[in-house]
Amino acid sequence: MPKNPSFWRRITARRETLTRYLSLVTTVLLMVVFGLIRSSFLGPRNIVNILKDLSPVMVMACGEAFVLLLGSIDLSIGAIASCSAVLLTVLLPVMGPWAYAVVLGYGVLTGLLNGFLHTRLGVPSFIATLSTQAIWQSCAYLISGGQPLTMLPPVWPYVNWGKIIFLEAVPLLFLVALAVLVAYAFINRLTAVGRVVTATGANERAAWLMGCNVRRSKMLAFLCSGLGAAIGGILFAIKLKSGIPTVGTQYTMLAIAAAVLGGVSMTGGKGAIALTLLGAMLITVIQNGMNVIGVNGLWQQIIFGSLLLAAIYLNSDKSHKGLIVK
Amino acid sequence: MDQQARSSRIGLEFAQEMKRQSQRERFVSWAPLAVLALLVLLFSLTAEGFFSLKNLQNVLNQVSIPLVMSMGMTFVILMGSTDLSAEGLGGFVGSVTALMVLNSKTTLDMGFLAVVIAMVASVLVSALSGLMHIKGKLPSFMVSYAVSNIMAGFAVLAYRGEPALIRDPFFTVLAQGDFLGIPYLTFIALGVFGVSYVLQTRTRFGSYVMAIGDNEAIARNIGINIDRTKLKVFLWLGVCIGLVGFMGAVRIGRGEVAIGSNVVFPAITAVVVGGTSLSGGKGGVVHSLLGAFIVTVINNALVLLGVSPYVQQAVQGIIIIVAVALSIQHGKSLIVK
Repeated sequence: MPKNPSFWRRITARRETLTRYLSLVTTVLLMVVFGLIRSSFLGPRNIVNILKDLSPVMVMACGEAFVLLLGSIDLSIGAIASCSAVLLTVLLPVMGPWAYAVVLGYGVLTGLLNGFLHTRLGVPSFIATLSTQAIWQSCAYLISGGQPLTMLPPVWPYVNWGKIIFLEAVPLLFLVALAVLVAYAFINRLTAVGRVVTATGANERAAWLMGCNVRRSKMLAFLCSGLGAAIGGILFAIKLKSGIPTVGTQYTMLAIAAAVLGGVSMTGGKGAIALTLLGAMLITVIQNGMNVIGVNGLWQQIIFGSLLLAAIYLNSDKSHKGLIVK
Repeated sequence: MDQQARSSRIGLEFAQEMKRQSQRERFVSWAPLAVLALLVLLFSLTAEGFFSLKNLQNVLNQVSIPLVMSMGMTFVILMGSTDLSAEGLGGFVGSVTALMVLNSKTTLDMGFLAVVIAMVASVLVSALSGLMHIKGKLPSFMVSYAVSNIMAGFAVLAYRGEPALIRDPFFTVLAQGDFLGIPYLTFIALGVFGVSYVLQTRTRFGSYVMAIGDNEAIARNIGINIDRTKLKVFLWLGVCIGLVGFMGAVRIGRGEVAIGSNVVFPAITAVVVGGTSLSGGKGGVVHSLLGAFIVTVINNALVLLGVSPYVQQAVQGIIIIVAVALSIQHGKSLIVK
């Protein structure tokens, strides 16, 4: 490093920090703006709404962040979430609370399948997960018959915990999502196999030469992603009291965007899972705020796509000049 | 044993090994054709009404859109990149084309000019996402994924939730008419295939794409202008996506975003099943032609066999995984991401 790095160099060096605070500052700014336009935006009822909307995105995003840390990608989370929501709705009347266990097991299984295809068969992650996405989406349609399923009153006792709200502002759903986030962050930061995930993303060959079990951490990352998607699907189902076969579709992109906005680099090895909270928050605030102040919903997709592009650009690593990106 | 004899023996072994390898490669490159023949045989025996002139016509009709899409995708994948933008962009092109020809929603009646405008828009958007990938050094599938979402948003915004119905008789004829029993749209698709074939085998551009996919660093060192070649690939992709959007719109007779919703996945399946390697540098448009037919024949037969349409996607997913897993060379210490 030269003694007087140029202005541009300093900016690029702090790009990561920049995105992190960018999403935080933008979130706060947007909340103020939306609050000024419509004061009900900051009311306790809407705060509960925001936190409820935030929960599934956050859980899916922190699973996705695990895979992004590897430098891989998981495009199947949306379909897994949809399929989980449908599965839960179908199984709750049959097996009661055990349905939750089955759906969580399903999530683990989907993650392991992705991990197997990627690590054992050597299929690039985006193509492997694009394919499993098609498979799970088909399953969601097949199980539900293509129609949204609603939960009938007999199973409400099993899902009514989603209505519990603490202190009039903090729904239990959000606390569950937060617990998952903390657990994932703990696995990533404080367990050996979790740290190898980040190391693998930074330099796979070096990690392998150091004697790290690269393959096992890759499996762990995909497992976490699948499980996170399944939990996300459960939260969707509880929130809506129904299983919609397309409920998760648009959340694949939103979860990736949330992770990247939280500072996870697409090339892997950089970022913290806990910060996906910030990215997810920004996305939910925009989504909710646009609904509250009455912006046409058609603009949302455009805004989120642009936001994703900006976030990848800010977070991409430009320090290697000869880097070949495919 | 003296030096000369040993070196000549090594040379002989090397030549034999090379011969064996090229034989194997030739065998592998014929595999898609064998698969297609096998599938046709299998479905002729099991699916009622599969082996008939009418169904052949159906297959030729159904193959047109996947074929055009896979022609654009082949060059992108040959280069080692991936593009998912067709999902939104194709829908956008279809939507605006329907809005600009004689239709039920607007008073515009631009006829063929509308198609040209929509195509230019498609090429521009594709070039833009290509530039973001090339100059911004962002992963191509990620950029195109975001672009796809943005364009899907614009598509729905253009017709504000209610798709325009195409009323122009010229386009209705184009969609339904045929010549010698082969639908017009299939002729367009075969024309695109012809152009792609020439581009790949008879132009410098085609060789450059192969070289970049095989080894970008070497291609750069021998003086190929990588950025320009890549940009050209995205321009060609834009043309193909534009055609796909247009063909989709005239086929269903209205312009809605759903036109693009099921074009990317079959195209990637077609390219990969045809034997073009996802890491680039291997395969080509003839392979993709076979791949497009394989995908179409399977989908066609699944319908005839009465399998739920929801399963089609899953079948394609499984086919992609199997094809990619088989084509990846094991034993190489390759880092896959």
